[in-house]
Amino acid sequence: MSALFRAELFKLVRQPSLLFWGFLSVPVFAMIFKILLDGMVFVRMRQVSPDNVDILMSAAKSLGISGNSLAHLLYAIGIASIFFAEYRFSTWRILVPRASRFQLWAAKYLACLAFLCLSLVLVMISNALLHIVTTLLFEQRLPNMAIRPDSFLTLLLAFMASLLELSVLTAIVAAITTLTRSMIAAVIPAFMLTLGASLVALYVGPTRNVIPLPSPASEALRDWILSGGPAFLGWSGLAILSAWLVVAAAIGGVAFWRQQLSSE
Amino acid sequence: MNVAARAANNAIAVNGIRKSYGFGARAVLALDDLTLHIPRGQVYGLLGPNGAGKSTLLRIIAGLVRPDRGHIEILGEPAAPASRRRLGMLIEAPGFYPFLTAREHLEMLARMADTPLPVDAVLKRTGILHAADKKVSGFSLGMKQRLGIGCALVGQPEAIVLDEPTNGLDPDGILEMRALIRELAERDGITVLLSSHLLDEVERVCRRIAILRRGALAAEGDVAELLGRNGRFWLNVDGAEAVSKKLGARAEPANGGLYIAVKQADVPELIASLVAAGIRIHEAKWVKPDLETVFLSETRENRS
Repeated sequence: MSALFRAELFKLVRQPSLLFWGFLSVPVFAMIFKILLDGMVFVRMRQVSPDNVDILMSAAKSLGISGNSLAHLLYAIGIASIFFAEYRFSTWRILVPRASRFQLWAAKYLACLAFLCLSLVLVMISNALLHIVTTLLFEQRLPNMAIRPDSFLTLLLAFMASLLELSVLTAIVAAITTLTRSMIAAVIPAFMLTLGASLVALYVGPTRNVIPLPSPASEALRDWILSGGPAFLGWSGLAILSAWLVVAAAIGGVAFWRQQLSSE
Repeated sequence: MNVAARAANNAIAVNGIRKSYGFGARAVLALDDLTLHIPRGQVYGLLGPNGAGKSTLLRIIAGLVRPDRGHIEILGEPAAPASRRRLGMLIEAPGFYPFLTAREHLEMLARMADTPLPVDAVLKRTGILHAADKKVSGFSLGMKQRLGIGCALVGQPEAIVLDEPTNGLDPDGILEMRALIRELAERDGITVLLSSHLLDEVERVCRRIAILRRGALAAEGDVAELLGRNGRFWLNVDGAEAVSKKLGARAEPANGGLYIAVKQADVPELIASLVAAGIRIHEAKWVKPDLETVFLSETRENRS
Protein backbone atom coordinates (compact mmCIF):
# COMPACT_ATOMS: atom_id res chain seq x y z
CA MET A 1 0.00 0.00 0.00
CA SER A 2 2.79 2.45 0.86
CA ALA A 3 4.44 1.70 -2.52
CA LEU A 4 1.18 2.50 -4.29
CA PHE A 5 0.74 5.71 -2.28
CA ARG A 6 4.31 6.80 -3.01
CA ALA A 7 3.79 5.96 -6.68
CA GLU A 8 0.76 8.25 -6.79
CA LEU A 9 2.68 11.08 -5.12
CA PHE A 10 5.58 10.56 -7.49
CA LYS A 11 3.36 10.60 -10.57
CA LEU A 12 1.81 13.91 -9.54
CA VAL A 13 5.16 15.48 -8.69
CA ARG A 14 6.28 14.58 -12.22
CA GLN A 15 3.34 16.54 -13.66
CA PRO A 16 4.16 20.04 -12.38
CA SER A 17 1.45 21.88 -14.29
CA LEU A 18 -1.22 19.56 -12.95
CA LEU A 19 0.24 19.81 -9.46
CA PHE A 20 0.14 23.60 -9.67
CA TRP A 21 -3.31 24.08 -11.18
CA GLY A 22 -4.90 21.23 -9.28
CA PHE A 23 -3.51 21.79 -5.80
CA LEU A 24 -1.12 24.72 -5.44
CA SER A 25 -2.92 27.41 -7.40
CA VAL A 26 -5.54 27.82 -4.66
CA PRO A 27 -3.08 29.02 -1.96
CA VAL A 28 -1.28 31.15 -4.56
CA PHE A 29 -4.52 32.82 -5.69
CA ALA A 30 -5.66 33.18 -2.08
CA MET A 31 -2.42 34.98 -1.23
CA ILE A 32 -2.61 37.23 -4.31
CA PHE A 33 -6.22 38.06 -3.51
CA LYS A 34 -5.32 38.97 0.08
CA ILE A 35 -2.39 41.14 -1.04
CA LEU A 36 -4.65 42.98 -3.49
CA LEU A 37 -7.34 43.43 -0.87
CA ASP A 38 -4.90 44.71 1.74
CA GLY A 39 -3.30 46.98 -0.87
CA MET A 40 -6.64 48.48 -1.82
CA VAL A 41 -7.51 49.09 1.81
CA PHE A 42 -4.13 50.73 2.39
CA VAL A 43 -4.35 52.93 -0.72
CA ARG A 44 -7.90 54.10 -0.03
CA MET A 45 -7.89 54.33 3.75
CA ARG A 46 -4.19 54.72 4.57
CA GLN A 47 -4.46 51.95 7.10
CA VAL A 48 -3.48 48.31 7.16
CA SER A 49 -6.05 45.53 7.26
CA PRO A 50 -6.89 43.34 9.04
CA ASP A 51 -7.69 44.33 12.54
CA ASN A 52 -7.36 40.74 13.67
CA VAL A 53 -3.81 40.26 14.84
CA ASP A 54 -4.09 36.74 16.26
CA ILE A 55 -2.08 34.88 13.65
CA LEU A 56 -3.47 31.46 14.49
CA MET A 57 -7.08 32.65 14.41
CA SER A 58 -6.43 34.49 11.16
CA ALA A 59 -4.93 31.32 9.67
CA ALA A 60 -7.96 29.34 10.87
CA LYS A 61 -10.27 31.81 9.13
CA SER A 62 -8.20 31.65 5.96
CA LEU A 63 -9.02 27.92 5.74
CA GLY A 64 -12.52 28.96 4.73
CA ILE A 65 -11.06 28.88 1.21
CA SER A 66 -11.96 25.19 1.21
CA GLY A 67 -15.59 26.23 0.76
CA ASN A 68 -14.92 28.56 -2.16
CA SER A 69 -16.54 27.39 -5.41
CA LEU A 70 -13.61 28.45 -7.58
CA ALA A 71 -11.25 26.57 -5.25
CA HIS A 72 -13.53 23.54 -5.57
CA LEU A 73 -13.29 23.78 -9.35
CA LEU A 74 -9.48 23.82 -9.28
CA TYR A 75 -9.27 21.07 -6.67
CA ALA A 76 -11.77 18.96 -8.63
CA ILE A 77 -9.51 19.25 -11.70
CA GLY A 78 -6.55 17.99 -9.66
CA ILE A 79 -8.49 15.13 -8.05
CA ALA A 80 -10.12 14.03 -11.29
CA SER A 81 -6.75 14.07 -13.06
CA ILE A 82 -5.27 11.68 -10.51
CA PHE A 83 -8.12 9.19 -10.93
CA PHE A 84 -8.46 9.69 -14.68
CA ALA A 85 -4.74 9.15 -15.43
CA GLU A 86 -5.02 5.35 -15.52
CA TYR A 87 -7.95 5.46 -17.96
CA ARG A 88 -6.26 8.10 -20.09
CA PHE A 89 -2.94 6.29 -20.39
CA SER A 90 -4.38 2.72 -20.26
CA THR A 91 -2.19 2.02 -17.27
CA TRP A 92 -4.68 0.07 -15.17
CA ARG A 93 -3.32 -2.92 -17.08
CA ILE A 94 0.09 -2.55 -15.42
CA LEU A 95 -1.31 -1.76 -11.96
CA VAL A 96 -4.33 -4.03 -11.48
CA PRO A 97 -2.39 -7.32 -11.67
CA ARG A 98 -0.03 -6.04 -8.97
CA ALA A 99 -2.37 -4.92 -6.21
CA SER A 100 -5.92 -5.22 -4.97
CA ARG A 101 -8.36 -2.77 -6.48
CA PHE A 102 -9.25 -1.47 -3.03
CA GLN A 103 -5.60 -0.58 -2.40
CA LEU A 104 -5.22 1.04 -5.82
CA TRP A 105 -8.28 3.21 -5.27
CA ALA A 106 -7.36 4.00 -1.66
CA ALA A 107 -3.81 5.00 -2.67
CA LYS A 108 -5.20 7.53 -5.14
CA TYR A 109 -7.66 8.83 -2.58
CA LEU A 110 -4.95 9.24 0.06
CA ALA A 111 -2.63 10.91 -2.45
CA CYS A 112 -5.37 13.46 -3.18
CA LEU A 113 -5.82 14.08 0.55
CA ALA A 114 -2.06 14.48 1.01
CA PHE A 115 -1.92 17.19 -1.66
CA LEU A 116 -5.07 18.85 -0.35
CA CYS A 117 -3.45 18.90 3.12
CA LEU A 118 -0.39 20.51 1.59
CA SER A 119 -2.59 23.07 -0.11
CA LEU A 120 -4.38 23.95 3.15
CA VAL A 121 -1.06 24.17 5.00
CA LEU A 122 0.22 26.55 2.32
CA VAL A 123 -2.93 28.65 2.72
CA MET A 124 -2.23 28.91 6.46
CA ILE A 125 1.48 29.60 6.00
CA SER A 126 0.92 32.24 3.33
CA ASN A 127 -1.64 33.92 5.57
CA ALA A 128 0.79 33.98 8.48
CA LEU A 129 3.66 35.16 6.27
CA LEU A 130 1.56 38.02 4.95
CA HIS A 131 0.87 39.08 8.51
CA ILE A 132 4.56 39.02 9.35
CA VAL A 133 5.54 40.91 6.20
CA THR A 134 2.83 43.49 6.81
CA THR A 135 4.09 43.89 10.37
CA LEU A 136 7.63 44.42 9.17
CA LEU A 137 6.55 46.95 6.56
CA PHE A 138 4.02 48.85 8.58
CA GLU A 139 5.20 48.23 12.12
CA GLN A 140 4.20 51.67 13.28
CA ARG A 141 0.64 51.39 12.03
CA LEU A 142 -0.23 47.91 13.32
CA PRO A 143 -1.48 47.08 16.74
CA ASN A 144 0.56 44.37 18.49
CA MET A 145 0.53 41.08 16.65
CA ALA A 146 -0.01 38.02 18.81
CA ILE A 147 0.08 34.25 18.77
CA ARG A 148 -2.49 33.08 21.29
CA PRO A 149 -1.97 29.43 22.29
CA ASP A 150 -5.69 28.87 22.93
CA SER A 151 -6.32 29.62 19.24
CA PHE A 152 -4.27 26.59 18.28
CA LEU A 153 -7.18 24.24 19.02
CA THR A 154 -9.45 26.40 16.89
CA LEU A 155 -6.91 26.28 14.08
CA LEU A 156 -6.64 22.51 14.38
CA LEU A 157 -10.43 22.06 14.33
CA ALA A 158 -10.79 24.46 11.40
CA PHE A 159 -8.13 22.51 9.54
CA MET A 160 -9.93 19.23 10.22
CA ALA A 161 -13.24 20.73 9.07
CA SER A 162 -11.70 22.03 5.85
CA LEU A 163 -10.00 18.72 5.21
CA LEU A 164 -13.29 16.90 5.80
CA GLU A 165 -15.01 19.17 3.28
CA LEU A 166 -12.27 18.50 0.73
CA SER A 167 -12.40 14.76 1.52
CA VAL A 168 -16.07 14.83 0.53
CA LEU A 169 -15.17 16.67 -2.67
CA THR A 170 -12.46 14.05 -3.35
CA ALA A 171 -14.89 11.17 -2.79
CA ILE A 172 -17.53 12.73 -5.09
CA VAL A 173 -15.06 13.53 -7.88
CA ALA A 174 -13.37 10.12 -7.56
CA ALA A 175 -16.71 8.30 -7.73
CA ILE A 176 -17.89 10.19 -10.81
CA THR A 177 -14.51 9.84 -12.57
CA THR A 178 -14.54 6.10 -11.90
CA LEU A 179 -18.13 5.65 -13.03
CA THR A 180 -17.85 7.78 -16.18
CA ARG A 181 -14.14 7.21 -16.94
CA SER A 182 -14.08 10.90 -17.80
CA MET A 183 -12.45 13.88 -16.15
CA ILE A 184 -14.74 16.59 -17.40
CA ALA A 185 -17.84 14.60 -16.43
CA ALA A 186 -16.60 14.66 -12.85
CA VAL A 187 -15.29 18.21 -12.61
CA ILE A 188 -18.40 19.99 -13.89
CA PRO A 189 -20.94 18.27 -11.57
CA ALA A 190 -18.65 18.75 -8.56
CA PHE A 191 -18.36 22.45 -9.35
CA MET A 192 -22.08 22.75 -10.02
CA LEU A 193 -22.85 21.01 -6.73
CA THR A 194 -20.87 23.63 -4.80
CA LEU A 195 -22.23 26.49 -6.82
CA GLY A 196 -25.78 25.13 -6.65
CA ALA A 197 -25.53 24.64 -2.88
CA SER A 198 -24.41 28.26 -2.45
CA LEU A 199 -27.34 29.48 -4.57
CA VAL A 200 -29.78 27.31 -2.63
CA ALA A 201 -28.36 28.66 0.65
CA LEU A 202 -28.79 32.22 -0.64
CA TYR A 203 -32.33 31.53 -1.83
CA VAL A 204 -33.43 29.78 1.36
CA GLY A 205 -31.70 32.30 3.62
CA PRO A 206 -31.00 31.66 7.30
CA THR A 207 -32.63 28.43 8.43
CA ARG A 208 -32.89 26.54 11.67
CA ASN A 209 -31.58 23.40 9.93
CA VAL A 210 -28.59 22.79 7.73
CA ILE A 211 -29.32 22.16 4.05
CA PRO A 212 -28.12 18.57 3.53
CA LEU A 213 -25.49 19.48 0.95
CA PRO A 214 -21.72 19.52 1.54
CA SER A 215 -21.15 23.29 1.22
CA PRO A 216 -23.84 24.50 3.67
CA ALA A 217 -22.86 21.70 6.04
CA SER A 218 -19.21 22.84 5.97
CA GLU A 219 -20.32 26.43 6.46
CA ALA A 220 -22.29 25.47 9.56
CA LEU A 221 -19.37 23.47 10.92
CA ARG A 222 -16.90 26.31 10.33
CA ASP A 223 -19.29 28.83 11.82
CA TRP A 224 -19.50 26.72 14.97
CA ILE A 225 -15.72 26.34 15.23
CA LEU A 226 -14.65 29.89 14.34
CA SER A 227 -17.49 32.12 15.43
CA GLY A 228 -19.17 30.12 18.16
CA GLY A 229 -22.28 29.46 16.05
CA PRO A 230 -24.99 27.07 17.24
CA ALA A 231 -23.53 23.71 18.27
CA PHE A 232 -26.58 21.89 16.92
CA LEU A 233 -25.93 23.22 13.43
CA GLY A 234 -22.24 22.42 13.79
CA TRP A 235 -22.93 18.81 14.71
CA SER A 236 -25.53 18.58 11.93
CA GLY A 237 -22.93 19.85 9.47
CA LEU A 238 -20.43 17.28 10.69
CA ALA A 239 -22.98 14.48 10.34
CA ILE A 240 -24.03 15.59 6.84
CA LEU A 241 -20.41 15.82 5.65
CA SER A 242 -19.62 12.41 7.15
CA ALA A 243 -22.64 10.87 5.44
CA TRP A 244 -21.64 12.37 2.08
CA LEU A 245 -18.09 11.11 2.58
CA VAL A 246 -19.12 7.56 3.41
CA VAL A 247 -21.71 7.28 0.63
CA ALA A 248 -19.55 8.85 -2.10
CA ALA A 249 -16.45 6.86 -1.12
CA ALA A 250 -18.46 3.64 -1.01
CA ILE A 251 -19.98 4.31 -4.45
CA GLY A 252 -16.57 5.07 -5.95
CA GLY A 253 -14.81 2.16 -4.27
CA VAL A 254 -17.47 -0.40 -5.16
CA ALA A 255 -17.74 0.96 -8.72
CA PHE A 256 -14.02 0.47 -9.23
CA TRP A 257 -14.01 -2.91 -7.49
CA ARG A 258 -16.72 -4.17 -9.89
CA GLN A 259 -15.52 -2.29 -12.97
CA GLN A 260 -14.84 -4.29 -16.12
CA LEU A 261 -11.61 -3.02 -17.62
CA SER A 262 -12.07 -4.67 -21.00
CA SER A 263 -10.71 -1.42 -22.33
CA GLU A 264 -9.58 1.49 -20.23
CA MET B 1 -0.86 -38.06 -11.44
CA ASN B 2 -3.76 -37.10 -9.19
CA VAL B 3 -5.86 -33.96 -9.64
CA ALA B 4 -4.12 -31.99 -6.88
CA ALA B 5 -0.67 -32.83 -8.18
CA ARG B 6 -1.71 -31.92 -11.71
CA ALA B 7 -3.15 -28.63 -10.48
CA ALA B 8 0.10 -27.84 -8.64
CA ASN B 9 2.02 -28.61 -11.81
CA ASN B 10 0.11 -25.96 -13.73
CA ALA B 11 1.34 -22.41 -13.88
CA ILE B 12 -2.10 -21.20 -14.92
CA ALA B 13 -5.32 -23.20 -14.86
CA VAL B 14 -8.39 -21.83 -16.59
CA ASN B 15 -11.43 -23.70 -15.34
CA GLY B 16 -14.78 -23.41 -17.12
CA ILE B 17 -14.50 -19.71 -17.80
CA ARG B 18 -17.51 -18.12 -19.41
CA LYS B 19 -17.68 -14.46 -20.29
CA SER B 20 -20.15 -12.49 -22.34
CA TYR B 21 -20.37 -8.78 -23.05
CA GLY B 22 -23.63 -6.88 -23.35
CA PHE B 23 -27.15 -7.94 -22.47
CA GLY B 24 -30.07 -9.72 -24.07
CA ALA B 25 -30.10 -10.19 -27.82
CA ARG B 26 -27.02 -8.00 -28.23
CA ALA B 27 -24.90 -10.09 -25.87
CA VAL B 28 -21.65 -11.36 -27.35
CA LEU B 29 -20.18 -14.55 -25.97
CA ALA B 30 -16.42 -14.00 -25.66
CA LEU B 31 -15.49 -17.18 -23.79
CA ASP B 32 -17.61 -20.28 -23.73
CA ASP B 33 -16.82 -22.53 -20.74
CA LEU B 34 -13.15 -22.51 -21.60
CA THR B 35 -10.88 -24.90 -19.73
CA LEU B 36 -7.15 -24.72 -20.29
CA HIS B 37 -4.11 -25.80 -18.31
CA ILE B 38 -0.74 -24.21 -18.87
CA PRO B 39 2.02 -26.44 -17.50
CA ARG B 40 4.94 -24.93 -15.58
CA GLY B 41 8.31 -24.31 -17.20
CA GLN B 42 7.12 -24.29 -20.80
CA VAL B 43 6.48 -21.74 -23.49
CA TYR B 44 2.78 -22.15 -24.22
CA GLY B 45 1.24 -20.55 -27.28
CA LEU B 46 -2.25 -19.09 -27.42
CA LEU B 47 -3.62 -18.75 -30.93
CA GLY B 48 -6.88 -17.74 -32.45
CA PRO B 49 -8.36 -15.40 -35.03
CA ASN B 50 -9.58 -11.93 -34.09
CA GLY B 51 -12.53 -12.19 -31.72
CA ALA B 52 -11.61 -15.69 -30.59
CA GLY B 53 -11.40 -14.55 -26.97
CA LYS B 54 -7.64 -14.42 -26.43
CA SER B 55 -7.55 -10.87 -25.10
CA THR B 56 -10.57 -11.46 -22.89
CA LEU B 57 -8.90 -14.54 -21.44
CA LEU B 58 -5.67 -12.63 -20.74
CA ARG B 59 -7.60 -9.75 -19.17
CA ILE B 60 -9.42 -12.21 -16.93
CA ILE B 61 -6.10 -13.73 -15.89
CA ALA B 62 -4.82 -10.20 -15.18
CA GLY B 63 -7.88 -9.38 -13.08
CA LEU B 64 -8.98 -6.59 -15.41
CA VAL B 65 -12.18 -8.37 -16.40
CA ARG B 66 -14.42 -10.49 -14.20
CA PRO B 67 -15.67 -13.80 -15.64
CA ASP B 68 -19.39 -14.61 -15.51
CA ARG B 69 -18.57 -18.13 -14.43
CA GLY B 70 -15.55 -20.33 -13.73
CA HIS B 71 -12.30 -19.60 -11.99
CA ILE B 72 -8.61 -19.14 -12.62
CA GLU B 73 -5.76 -20.65 -10.64
CA ILE B 74 -2.31 -19.12 -10.74
CA LEU B 75 0.60 -21.28 -9.59
CA GLY B 76 -1.77 -23.53 -7.69
CA GLU B 77 -3.60 -20.72 -5.90
CA PRO B 78 -6.89 -19.01 -6.73
CA ALA B 79 -6.35 -15.89 -8.82
CA ALA B 80 -6.01 -12.94 -6.42
CA PRO B 81 -3.66 -9.96 -6.08
CA ALA B 82 -1.15 -12.06 -4.11
CA SER B 83 -0.98 -14.84 -6.70
CA ARG B 84 -1.05 -12.36 -9.60
CA ARG B 85 2.04 -10.67 -8.17
CA ARG B 86 3.88 -13.91 -9.00
CA LEU B 87 2.95 -13.35 -12.66
CA GLY B 88 4.46 -10.88 -15.07
CA MET B 89 2.01 -9.55 -17.61
CA LEU B 90 2.16 -7.67 -20.87
CA ILE B 91 -1.44 -7.15 -21.94
CA GLU B 92 -2.08 -5.87 -25.47
CA ALA B 93 -0.34 -2.60 -26.32
CA PRO B 94 1.43 -1.62 -23.12
CA GLY B 95 0.21 1.59 -21.49
CA PHE B 96 2.70 3.92 -19.84
CA TYR B 97 2.84 7.35 -18.25
CA PRO B 98 4.32 9.61 -20.95
CA PHE B 99 5.82 11.94 -18.33
CA LEU B 100 7.94 9.22 -16.68
CA THR B 101 11.15 7.63 -17.93
CA ALA B 102 11.66 3.91 -18.51
CA ARG B 103 13.77 3.69 -15.35
CA GLU B 104 11.12 5.49 -13.30
CA HIS B 105 8.45 3.08 -14.53
CA LEU B 106 10.53 0.07 -13.57
CA GLU B 107 11.56 1.54 -10.20
CA MET B 108 7.93 2.31 -9.40
CA LEU B 109 6.80 -1.21 -10.28
CA ALA B 110 9.80 -2.78 -8.52
CA ARG B 111 8.71 -1.12 -5.28
CA MET B 112 5.33 -2.86 -5.63
CA ALA B 113 6.95 -6.28 -6.08
CA ASP B 114 7.80 -8.71 -3.30
CA THR B 115 11.19 -9.69 -4.75
CA PRO B 116 12.17 -7.19 -7.42
CA LEU B 117 15.04 -7.56 -9.84
CA PRO B 118 17.64 -4.78 -10.15
CA VAL B 119 16.21 -2.23 -12.57
CA ASP B 120 19.43 -1.85 -14.54
CA ALA B 121 19.57 -5.60 -15.14
CA VAL B 122 16.03 -5.54 -16.53
CA LEU B 123 16.80 -2.53 -18.72
CA LYS B 124 19.86 -4.29 -20.08
CA ARG B 125 18.06 -7.56 -20.67
CA THR B 126 15.27 -5.90 -22.63
CA GLY B 127 17.72 -3.79 -24.63
CA ILE B 128 16.62 -0.31 -23.53
CA LEU B 129 19.42 0.58 -21.12
CA HIS B 130 20.54 3.33 -23.53
CA ALA B 131 17.10 4.96 -23.28
CA ALA B 132 16.58 4.35 -19.57
CA ASP B 133 16.40 8.01 -18.63
CA LYS B 134 14.32 9.21 -21.57
CA LYS B 135 10.66 9.98 -21.15
CA VAL B 136 8.38 7.28 -22.54
CA SER B 137 6.51 9.86 -24.66
CA GLY B 138 9.50 9.78 -27.02
CA PHE B 139 9.62 5.98 -27.31
CA SER B 140 8.88 4.08 -30.49
CA LEU B 141 6.35 1.24 -30.39
CA GLY B 142 9.17 -1.29 -30.30
CA MET B 143 10.83 0.43 -27.33
CA LYS B 144 7.50 0.56 -25.52
CA GLN B 145 7.09 -3.14 -26.18
CA ARG B 146 10.52 -3.80 -24.67
CA LEU B 147 9.67 -1.67 -21.67
CA GLY B 148 6.39 -3.59 -21.34
CA ILE B 149 8.35 -6.81 -21.13
CA GLY B 150 10.70 -5.16 -18.64
CA CYS B 151 7.70 -4.22 -16.50
CA ALA B 152 6.56 -7.83 -16.63
CA LEU B 153 9.99 -9.09 -15.60
CA VAL B 154 10.90 -6.61 -12.89
CA GLY B 155 8.89 -8.40 -10.22
CA GLN B 156 10.90 -11.59 -10.81
CA PRO B 157 7.82 -13.57 -11.86
CA GLU B 158 7.46 -17.34 -11.88
CA ALA B 159 5.30 -17.13 -14.99
CA ILE B 160 4.88 -14.46 -17.60
CA VAL B 161 2.01 -13.67 -19.95
CA LEU B 162 3.00 -11.96 -23.18
CA ASP B 163 0.40 -10.64 -25.58
CA GLU B 164 1.90 -10.00 -29.00
CA PRO B 165 5.35 -9.19 -27.58
CA THR B 166 6.97 -8.70 -30.99
CA ASN B 167 4.48 -6.03 -32.09
CA GLY B 168 6.37 -3.08 -33.49
CA LEU B 169 9.79 -4.71 -33.31
CA ASP B 170 12.13 -4.76 -36.29
CA PRO B 171 13.43 -8.13 -37.57
CA ASP B 172 16.48 -7.96 -35.29
CA GLY B 173 14.25 -7.09 -32.40
CA ILE B 174 11.98 -10.04 -33.17
CA LEU B 175 14.96 -12.39 -33.14
CA GLU B 176 16.15 -10.91 -29.83
CA MET B 177 12.68 -11.24 -28.35
CA ARG B 178 12.43 -14.84 -29.51
CA ALA B 179 15.79 -15.58 -27.90
CA LEU B 180 14.69 -13.82 -24.71
CA ILE B 181 11.49 -15.87 -24.51
CA ARG B 182 13.43 -19.11 -24.98
CA GLU B 183 15.97 -18.00 -22.39
CA LEU B 184 13.25 -17.18 -19.89
CA ALA B 185 11.85 -20.68 -20.16
CA GLU B 186 15.07 -22.65 -20.54
CA ARG B 187 17.51 -20.72 -18.32
CA ASP B 188 15.23 -19.12 -15.76
CA GLY B 189 12.56 -21.81 -15.69
CA ILE B 190 9.82 -19.21 -16.15
CA THR B 191 6.55 -20.35 -17.70
CA VAL B 192 5.65 -18.22 -20.69
CA LEU B 193 2.11 -17.88 -22.00
CA LEU B 194 2.57 -16.35 -25.43
CA SER B 195 -0.34 -14.97 -27.39
CA SER B 196 0.62 -14.13 -30.92
CA HIS B 197 -0.67 -13.84 -34.44
CA LEU B 198 2.76 -14.74 -35.80
CA LEU B 199 2.33 -18.46 -36.32
CA ASP B 200 5.90 -18.92 -37.42
CA GLU B 201 7.05 -17.35 -34.16
CA VAL B 202 4.78 -19.59 -32.10
CA GLU B 203 5.91 -22.69 -34.00
CA ARG B 204 9.55 -21.83 -33.34
CA VAL B 205 9.22 -20.90 -29.70
CA CYS B 206 6.32 -22.82 -28.15
CA ARG B 207 6.28 -26.41 -27.01
CA ARG B 208 2.55 -26.58 -26.57
CA ILE B 209 -0.28 -24.52 -28.03
CA ALA B 210 -3.99 -23.91 -27.71
CA ILE B 211 -6.11 -22.64 -30.56
CA LEU B 212 -9.24 -20.73 -29.61
CA ARG B 213 -12.23 -20.35 -31.88
CA ARG B 214 -15.28 -18.33 -30.88
CA GLY B 215 -14.36 -18.47 -27.22
CA ALA B 216 -13.91 -22.22 -27.10
CA LEU B 217 -10.94 -24.51 -27.39
CA ALA B 218 -10.61 -25.67 -31.01
CA ALA B 219 -7.39 -27.61 -30.54
CA GLU B 220 -4.74 -28.09 -27.89
CA GLY B 221 -1.58 -30.10 -27.60
CA ASP B 222 2.16 -30.30 -28.21
CA VAL B 223 3.17 -28.45 -31.35
CA ALA B 224 4.84 -31.58 -32.72
CA GLU B 225 1.78 -33.67 -31.99
CA LEU B 226 -0.61 -31.18 -33.59
CA LEU B 227 1.53 -30.92 -36.68
CA GLY B 228 1.72 -34.72 -36.86
CA ARG B 229 -2.01 -35.10 -36.25
CA ASN B 230 -2.75 -32.82 -39.16
CA GLY B 231 -0.17 -34.39 -41.48
CA ARG B 232 -1.17 -36.00 -44.79
CA PHE B 233 0.17 -38.86 -46.82
CA TRP B 234 1.17 -38.07 -50.40
CA LEU B 235 1.65 -40.70 -53.11
CA ASN B 236 2.87 -40.57 -56.69
CA VAL B 237 1.51 -43.70 -58.35
CA ASP B 238 0.72 -45.09 -61.76
CA GLY B 239 -3.01 -44.95 -62.45
CA ALA B 240 -3.78 -42.22 -59.93
CA GLU B 241 -7.39 -42.01 -61.06
CA ALA B 242 -7.99 -45.69 -60.37
CA VAL B 243 -6.36 -45.43 -56.97
CA SER B 244 -8.43 -42.34 -56.22
CA LYS B 245 -11.61 -44.26 -57.10
CA LYS B 246 -10.50 -47.19 -54.96
CA LEU B 247 -9.84 -44.98 -51.92
CA GLY B 248 -12.93 -42.82 -52.42
CA ALA B 249 -13.25 -39.61 -50.40
CA ARG B 250 -10.02 -40.32 -48.52
CA ALA B 251 -7.99 -39.45 -51.65
CA GLU B 252 -7.59 -36.01 -53.13
CA PRO B 253 -5.56 -35.38 -56.31
CA ALA B 254 -2.95 -32.65 -55.87
CA ASN B 255 0.64 -31.76 -56.82
CA GLY B 256 0.82 -34.50 -59.47
CA GLY B 257 -0.15 -37.21 -57.03
CA LEU B 258 -2.69 -38.02 -54.38
CA TYR B 259 -3.13 -36.73 -50.83
CA ILE B 260 -4.61 -39.53 -48.75
CA ALA B 261 -6.30 -39.00 -45.40
CA VAL B 262 -4.83 -41.73 -43.26
CA LYS B 263 -3.34 -42.03 -39.81
CA GLN B 264 0.44 -42.07 -39.81
CA ALA B 265 0.41 -45.47 -38.09
CA ASP B 266 -1.70 -46.98 -40.89
CA VAL B 267 0.59 -45.87 -43.71
CA PRO B 268 2.65 -49.13 -43.97
CA GLU B 269 -0.55 -51.13 -44.26
CA LEU B 270 -1.89 -48.81 -46.97
CA ILE B 271 1.34 -49.11 -48.97
CA ALA B 272 1.30 -52.87 -48.61
CA SER B 273 -2.31 -53.07 -49.84
CA LEU B 274 -1.55 -50.87 -52.86
CA VAL B 275 1.52 -52.92 -53.76
CA ALA B 276 -0.50 -56.13 -53.33
CA ALA B 277 -3.08 -54.65 -55.74
CA GLY B 278 -0.31 -54.27 -58.34
CA ILE B 279 -0.10 -50.49 -58.14
CA ARG B 280 3.38 -49.10 -58.82
CA ILE B 281 4.45 -46.46 -56.30
CA HIS B 282 7.06 -43.96 -57.49
CA GLU B 283 7.17 -41.76 -54.44
CA ALA B 284 5.51 -41.77 -51.06
CA LYS B 285 5.94 -39.23 -48.24
CA TRP B 286 4.34 -38.07 -45.03
CA VAL B 287 3.76 -34.32 -45.42
CA LYS B 288 3.82 -32.40 -42.16
CA PRO B 289 1.89 -29.16 -42.31
CA ASP B 290 3.16 -25.93 -40.84
CA LEU B 291 1.33 -24.29 -37.97
CA GLU B 292 -0.46 -21.97 -40.37
CA THR B 293 -2.13 -24.95 -42.04
CA VAL B 294 -3.16 -26.37 -38.67
CA PHE B 295 -4.41 -22.97 -37.54
CA LEU B 296 -6.47 -22.45 -40.66
CA SER B 297 -7.90 -25.96 -40.58
CA GLU B 298 -8.93 -25.55 -36.92
CA THR B 299 -10.35 -22.08 -37.26
CA ARG B 300 -11.84 -22.12 -40.78
CA GLU B 301 -13.12 -25.57 -41.64
CA ASN B 302 -15.62 -25.79 -38.86
CA ARG B 303 -17.00 -22.31 -39.32
CA SER B 304 -20.69 -22.35 -39.92
